[in-house]
Amino acid sequence: MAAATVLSSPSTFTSVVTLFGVGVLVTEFLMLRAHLLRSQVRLYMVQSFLVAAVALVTGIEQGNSGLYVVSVLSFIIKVVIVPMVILRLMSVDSADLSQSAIMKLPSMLYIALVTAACGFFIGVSFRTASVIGRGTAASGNAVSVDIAIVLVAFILIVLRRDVISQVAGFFSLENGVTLFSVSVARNMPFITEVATFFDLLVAAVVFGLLMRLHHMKTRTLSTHVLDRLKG
Amino acid sequence: MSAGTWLIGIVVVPVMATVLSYLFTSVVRRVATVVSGLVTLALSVMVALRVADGGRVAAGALFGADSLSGIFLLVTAFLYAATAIFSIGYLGGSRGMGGLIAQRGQIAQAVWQSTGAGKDGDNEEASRQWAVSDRFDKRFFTGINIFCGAMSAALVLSNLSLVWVAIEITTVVSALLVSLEDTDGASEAAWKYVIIASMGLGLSLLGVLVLYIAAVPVLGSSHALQIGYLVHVHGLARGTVELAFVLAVIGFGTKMGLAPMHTWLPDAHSEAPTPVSALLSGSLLAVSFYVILRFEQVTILNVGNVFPHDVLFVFGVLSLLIAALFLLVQRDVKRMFAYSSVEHMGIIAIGAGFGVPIALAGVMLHVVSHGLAKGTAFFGAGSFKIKFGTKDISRISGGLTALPWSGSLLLAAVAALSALPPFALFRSEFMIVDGGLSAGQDLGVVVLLVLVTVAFAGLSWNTVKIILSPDRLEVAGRQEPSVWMVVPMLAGVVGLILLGLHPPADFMRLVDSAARELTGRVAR
Amino acid sequence: MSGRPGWCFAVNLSTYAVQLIQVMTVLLLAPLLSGAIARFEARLQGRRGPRVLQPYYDLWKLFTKETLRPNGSSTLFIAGPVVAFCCYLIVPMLIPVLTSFPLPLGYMGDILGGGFILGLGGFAVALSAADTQSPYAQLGSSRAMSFGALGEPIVLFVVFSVGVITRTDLPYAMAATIRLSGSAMLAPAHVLAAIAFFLVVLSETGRIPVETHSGTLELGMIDEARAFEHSGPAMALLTWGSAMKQMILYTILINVFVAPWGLASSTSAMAVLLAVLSLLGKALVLGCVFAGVDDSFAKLRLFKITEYLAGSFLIAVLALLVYLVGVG
Repeated sequence: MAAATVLSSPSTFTSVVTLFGVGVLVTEFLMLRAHLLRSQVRLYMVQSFLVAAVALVTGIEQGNSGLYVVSVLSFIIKVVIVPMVILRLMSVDSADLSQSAIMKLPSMLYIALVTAACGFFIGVSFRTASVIGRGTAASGNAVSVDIAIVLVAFILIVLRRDVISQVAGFFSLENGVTLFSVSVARNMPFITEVATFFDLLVAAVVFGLLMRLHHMKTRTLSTHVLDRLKG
Repeated sequence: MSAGTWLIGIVVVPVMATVLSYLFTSVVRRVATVVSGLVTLALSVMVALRVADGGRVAAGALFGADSLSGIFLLVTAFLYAATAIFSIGYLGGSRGMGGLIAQRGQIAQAVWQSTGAGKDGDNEEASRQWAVSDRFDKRFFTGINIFCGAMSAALVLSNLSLVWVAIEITTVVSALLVSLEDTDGASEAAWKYVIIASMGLGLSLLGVLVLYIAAVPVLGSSHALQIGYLVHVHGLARGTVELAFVLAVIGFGTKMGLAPMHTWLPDAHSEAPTPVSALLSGSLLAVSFYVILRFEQVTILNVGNVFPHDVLFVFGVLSLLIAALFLLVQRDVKRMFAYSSVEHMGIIAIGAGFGVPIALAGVMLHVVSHGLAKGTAFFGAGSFKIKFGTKDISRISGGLTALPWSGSLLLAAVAALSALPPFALFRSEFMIVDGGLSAGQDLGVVVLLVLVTVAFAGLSWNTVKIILSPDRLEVAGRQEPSVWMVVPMLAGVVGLILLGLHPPADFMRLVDSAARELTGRVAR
Repeated sequence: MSGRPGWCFAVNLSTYAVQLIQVMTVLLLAPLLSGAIARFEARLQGRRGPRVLQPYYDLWKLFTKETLRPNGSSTLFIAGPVVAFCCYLIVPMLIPVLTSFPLPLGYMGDILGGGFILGLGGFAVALSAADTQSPYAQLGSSRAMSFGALGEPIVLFVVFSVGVITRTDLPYAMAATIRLSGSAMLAPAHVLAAIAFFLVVLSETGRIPVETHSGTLELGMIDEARAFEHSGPAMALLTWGSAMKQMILYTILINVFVAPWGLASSTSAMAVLLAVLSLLGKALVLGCVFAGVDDSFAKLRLFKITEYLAGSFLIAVLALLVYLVGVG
């Protein structure tokens, strides 16, 4: 009984949403070190699952049925279809990505950590600078984590020089933005959400095709070889 | 037909052409693409005339256009039509039209040599076969139609988030088009393009959401991203709008080629098939700028002039500086034109940063005339590539002898890009400079003029080398590859001269009313 | 609490007695915990495993043997295990082992003080190992020190973040704050700090993925290697000490972070007895979790341990950050 009251209290809702958000952030940190194509894709699945869970929890808390749909769509598209498309197109799923980092892991982690901290504080200043319409404390708090997720996604793309990690970085970025829209920009017009998901699907296919092309051309997943064009 | 139907037509016609190109054979493909391009152009002109005096046409809550959209519609649709026609020449008439197939083989060879991958005989043969294959043809035309359809859609959709979706679709489709020639360089360029542009678009989606947060308390959730409402709304939270604007400038600025986010641009524009390069440079950059302008409108209304103008000015100067310096050292024709695009986007951003009506009118004119000139220039580069089998400046000479029409038209286009009279870019840059002086931005004007001169030096020196120099290589005869490739260039140059000497009154009304939209003073 | 079950449980003990019981609990139950975990681990691996009480027999055997000192070693060699053992006896006085209210000596030191005393214990062991001139023991002690140097900041950050959340640095008060509000348990900063501390405990108790605690491969050893040269009663003290250290760390994890319930709220003998049993129960569950982790992961290569520690450091810092920006 005590547990029930605890779970229905707004502060617990905030905690859970933030915790899942931090979970997404941690999966990004793990992506920084993932060595295999497969593990990178799995991390993305976990991350997307967390995003879908946040949408579901938020939907329950606000009684917003639109968010249920977002949650289900997130799950179907990001946890099932996108990983499937990527794995199907890249039939080299045990490919080793361990050489693609441009520096040692601890340094990367610390850079990412500092970046996340910057994101947190940007979120704080954003909260103080803006009037978030009809926002509860939850939405305000989540901004910090979401901005951190977006920034760390950039770090991931910059620090890992292989196509898989870069795509994982882009999709993480997109996940961060989705989280942002779920937790802050509620009541988004439905068509917008659906269009965004459709767009994500197209992007996944195109990314897959280009990765495959890259792999065919260079026989590697690394992007270190992409230095022909300059000037 | 009502004006709203025209808007729907602008989106639906390219989609239909896409379906036709995908399903049918090469002749149908060409006809469908050209017809679609011309119809879209006609519809865009009609829409532009309707909104020339301000006001807004709309079709439901989904589509809408005002004079600002009108300007960008004109340039996008013109390039669509021109590229459709040019592509027929570039790819050869059709599968059945005999001799041109061989030329397409030559294209492949050119691409191969230019990327330095032609050492392996098997690869070269494979690439040549790929370039003449029907699958290449199908993908090319299907892609061009989706690409142009998405760009037009971005201009006529009235919900900002859907505009974002359309822009993202242009990114992924154009990335596939960039990779189409299947060379190492193309795959590298496509990868860099898609990753960098997608990162930018991720940020810009964040910008859209932040704007939504700002607008919801005032407009309510169903109108918060409707452009028609956004451009008149007051009383949004200042900090939030500023954040949204900065995110949008960085995000969409990545696609627009503003430095320092421009790094993908020279690669993608030089490695793409030439007709695609023309579309990328002439219209895609402009469409991205259009979205930035939409954000700027909201920002001006709610934050004031100074902040957005300063942001645009800084990015503009940076782009112009970097582009001017890189233009001096280019050795690849298409890469040179790509940097010229960065340069002109810089000029446009600076003009928007001056922010006075005459400068803004200049910016509008500049967008259109840059589209015409850059399209023509890339078409010319395409002809040269086919004729000489390379894009390397040092290996092309005597262009005027070998290609009398394309050579002279390319020369005209480069003169236009260097803002020489009587071309339209002279007029538009003059207006921008005039606006800068009247805004009291003397230093900004000086910087602009100095950098434009540096860029002029780089661009004209290289072009003179390839066109006016004596024909050292003695390439086979004075003959144009195809008349299909000359017509769009001719149209572009005629348009440039027309807009430069005596622009139609309707067009200038459109430009003026778009400029008024941007000053935030239009009351409607 | 009207119908008390028996007279002897109705007795109210003095707080000093409870304090003593607290130390004795750790002292006496630690080998039992080790034995139970070893048994469970063996079962997981499909072996029968040693008896649960085996550690007591081992200790008895070691105590009856003589202590040998390697040539050239100083008194440090003998003093190390004794000092460490004493340290591990002091720490239980500072942390909430059995009671939810602070005992008299609980104010002797805050959680940092407890950490320092634990650290002193580890240092004494390392020093006495370094004194032996045996390459393996020295290897173990230098490794333990270098990884310890990475582990310390994590513990500090964990302590800081829990400290700022609960606005105190006294373990008792921390546990009380968390016990009183369920949402504090779920606060992201707290959860992250608990995870980070879990990872530290994993490495501090010499478990996979940091080290194979039951292995015999000297090259991969860290903690185990330090006891290589010890024998007899000194060895017994070392073994017992490390069992106590494990129990102390478990207790902190349980009673400060994860499940501060089931503690005695009065000094009645019944309540204290129940608290002992519940602590043992919770520690056994936790031990099984650790054994499960041990069984399902592979040992990291030595130079990857820094990555592991960097990861837990990162989580600890995240916890603090999340709290500082008001998200937690």
